[in-house]
Amino acid sequence: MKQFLFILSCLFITNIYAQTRLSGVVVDAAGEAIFAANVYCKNAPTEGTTTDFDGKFTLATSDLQDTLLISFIGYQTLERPLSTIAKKEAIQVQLNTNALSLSEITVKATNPISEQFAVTQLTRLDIYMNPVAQADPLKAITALPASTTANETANPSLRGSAPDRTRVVLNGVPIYKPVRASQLNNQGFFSLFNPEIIERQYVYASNPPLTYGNTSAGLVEINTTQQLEQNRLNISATLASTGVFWSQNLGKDAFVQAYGNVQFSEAFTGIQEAALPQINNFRTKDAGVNFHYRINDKTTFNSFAYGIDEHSDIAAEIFAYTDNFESTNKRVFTVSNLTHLTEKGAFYFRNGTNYAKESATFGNLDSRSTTNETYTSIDYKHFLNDAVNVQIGASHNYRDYDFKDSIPSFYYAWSSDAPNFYNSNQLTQHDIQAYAYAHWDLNKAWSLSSGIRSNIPVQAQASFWSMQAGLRFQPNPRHHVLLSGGQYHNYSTPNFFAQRFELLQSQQVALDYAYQRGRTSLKAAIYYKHETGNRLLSDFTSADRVNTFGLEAFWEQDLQKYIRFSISNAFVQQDQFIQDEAYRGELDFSYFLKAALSFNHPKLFSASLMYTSRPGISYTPIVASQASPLVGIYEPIFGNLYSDIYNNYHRIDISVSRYIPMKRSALIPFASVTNLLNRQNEREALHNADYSKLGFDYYQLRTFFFGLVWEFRY
Amino acid sequence: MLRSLVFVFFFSVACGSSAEPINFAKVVSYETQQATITEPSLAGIQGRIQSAFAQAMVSNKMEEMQKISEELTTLYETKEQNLIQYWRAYLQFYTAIFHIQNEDSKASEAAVDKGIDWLKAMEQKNSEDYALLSMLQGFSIQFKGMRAMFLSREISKNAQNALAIDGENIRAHFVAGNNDYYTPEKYGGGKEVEKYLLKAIELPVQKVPNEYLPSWGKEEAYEILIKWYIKKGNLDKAKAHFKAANEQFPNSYMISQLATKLI
Repeated sequence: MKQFLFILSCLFITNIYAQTRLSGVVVDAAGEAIFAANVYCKNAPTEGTTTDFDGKFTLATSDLQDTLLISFIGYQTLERPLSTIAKKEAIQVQLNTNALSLSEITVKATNPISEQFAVTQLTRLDIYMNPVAQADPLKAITALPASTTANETANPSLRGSAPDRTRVVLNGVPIYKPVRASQLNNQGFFSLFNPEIIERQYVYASNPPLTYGNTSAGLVEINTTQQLEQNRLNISATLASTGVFWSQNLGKDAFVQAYGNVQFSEAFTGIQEAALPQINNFRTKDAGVNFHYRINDKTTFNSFAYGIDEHSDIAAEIFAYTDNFESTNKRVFTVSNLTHLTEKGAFYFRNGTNYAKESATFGNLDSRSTTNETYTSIDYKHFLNDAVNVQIGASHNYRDYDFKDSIPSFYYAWSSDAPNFYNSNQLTQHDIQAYAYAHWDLNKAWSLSSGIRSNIPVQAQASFWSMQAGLRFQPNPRHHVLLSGGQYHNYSTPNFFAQRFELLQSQQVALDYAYQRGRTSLKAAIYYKHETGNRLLSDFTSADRVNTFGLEAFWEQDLQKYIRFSISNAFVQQDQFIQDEAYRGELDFSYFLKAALSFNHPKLFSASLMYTSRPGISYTPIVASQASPLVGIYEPIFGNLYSDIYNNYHRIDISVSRYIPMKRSALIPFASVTNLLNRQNEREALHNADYSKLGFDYYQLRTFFFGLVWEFRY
Repeated sequence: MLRSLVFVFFFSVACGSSAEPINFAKVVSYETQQATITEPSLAGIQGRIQSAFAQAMVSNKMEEMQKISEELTTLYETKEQNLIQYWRAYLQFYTAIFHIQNEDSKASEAAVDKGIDWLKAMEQKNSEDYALLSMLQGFSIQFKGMRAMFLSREISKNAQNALAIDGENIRAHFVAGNNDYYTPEKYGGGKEVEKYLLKAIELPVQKVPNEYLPSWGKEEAYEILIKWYIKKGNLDKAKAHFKAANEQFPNSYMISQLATKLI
């Protein structure tokens, strides 16, 4: 018995002395201590310990054959056989962050690398809630303080730049002429895009990221839906259109969205002829299909196809000659994307095609053109680590414009019996560009981005380098500041008046500030830009240099649960240079005020009131005329360039809608009044035949619009 | 009415979801428990916050919650660890519930917004951080009026981020299911409530026991899942899960409250 007790005691003592106290410290890749990490043995997970604030731990263990496990949320679990470490006095263990999961890579791959440098991001809901957007993605931009669109079109002019300097890209593919009926008559009230297919829209008011080329002012980056929330059918009928929209999941990995609309003018103009004196008739049919397919976990395909057939007939005046301006436009474009994720990055293959056939007749003008464009790019985004992302890419843009026009022989002689001549002009361009762009989160508050882009000259093109740098400071989620600057290039889009690809350039610097807390949003900006390259002006002259300095301020406040108020103002000082002489710029505004008041109660109704005010645009007056012996038509004599100004612009719009839910469907009646006060905002000076009397053509007068949408969700 | 329901829900969460469910008879001895803590620590922090909240609701005084808040602030000022910030935000959540029960929606909104701000500003958020952020945003949506529509997508995105980073995180599944439960069906909600919550109740509250890390989520998942089955008229499943929940959380106020709806 004594022997037994002795042996037992020895075993017990041995066991006590066999316990090893293991101590160490757990750090991350940067050497920072990891607090609360789990430290335990594989065979005794409940007898473990945790690290203290300094990452230190002490663990007693007796089984030296066991394996030590150290784990923490967001880090890879580390395994070490105890036999390899138990004899050491203290160990230092480094935990590495988990490799990016596929979903994380998907999120990073979907969002633009330059996302943090976008001044504004708009979701589909933002577009619908915008009081001036009329559910148009590009018109939503006109409500921003950075928008200097002054002609009531959807074609975005940002911070005083001509619309053709700002590029609109859809899923990374440029869409030139992104508005409807964008022909000689300068119409283009609505864009080509349906908000239902849009997931997010990034607006770079200045300093467009060099991940995209061919833009020297700003960038509007539109991304289509990545995931369908639910199946839906919408049928709409309005005063000027009928339409259908259908979205359908096709299994787990695919969905399709399709829509079609027919627009017509009879009812719209019929009830308010006096308010729409210029519109004789318009008729438009358009249809779009967006198809999304997740081929596997790593590869996604998206294809969007759109076609439009437009006919319009409007009353117009060009140099004292009044006639009907009839135009047609048939256009089809496609945007296809293939995205492939890798372990630490993503490849993007993008392709776009565009075919358009346009015609316009007015007096002795008969203009016909066809456009063929293809765009192909390949880009690769690499996530170096949590802080640094880089992206490189190359693109080829082929553009073919074929103009066949009968043109007035004299710029002022447009009557149908005035002489004209035939002009045939085919322009082709291969635009090949490559770029590199990097984004670096320096620390918690500071981020840096930089990009460089160059063309590979062909067809005797001039070589150019675009470059940019941006700094972002975000001390906390409420404030952020962007400082960015750079040099940019783009080619002009050929049109009837300027049948050439002209290289345009800009240098710009901008400082943007944003504040968001609770129910208050504030934004402010200051910028300066210097643009070179011909800018076609509204009176057929062109400026070769434009300098713009601007200030912007914006305040948005939720007054209570259902009421929101916003107000913005912009000061734009613009000088344009015509043969080294400085003139007031076309988009020079001592103020550009936009105020909106919105009420939105889901169970009652939504209503919004929008007020816009700015000084009139400057123009060159016609001060006299002389009879031209050649054509028997009066030739205008111009006064000083840009010495007259149209009247101040004021406009109040109001809209009301109601969402009436039913079982699985809803009815959404809506109505709007544009230019409620019927203000006569001067758009263009009109003259009689000998230019002795002056009158004006006006922007949209008071017009009523209403409609009904039936929505069925299933 | 809605506020009362919110109160009942969150008060019962506070009382029942900790690893150590609160027995009201022990509340008196809470100070004794507190006295053992000599310096700021995160040990058992979830339980401490929930107990302090329960005490605040009974006494209508936030002293203990404020004390923990000050401790956490001091800790964060010296250590600047994400985990401390997580618990500060978690405490803000309960502070917000306290205020709304006292009909001070302004203070409630300010409290939850502060927690959201902290979580948003956090670098390298992990699955737990995203899950909590989504939950706080889900609570804050009641204050946001017109901004609510914009926020709902962000809430869903943060829940999905939590799942993407750790598909085995019970709280990520709970938050995703909870968001779907409260999203009206006409806006696409209710389609994945069952999937997320069934997964949540299967998962362990922690992979390895750790008193510094969160362990909430399972009881809440049971509660919403049972409610979902009741709402859908599937009483057999509701009863089966009620039985399982009752076995695991016999002292849970919020689970026991569902009994009357199953009769």
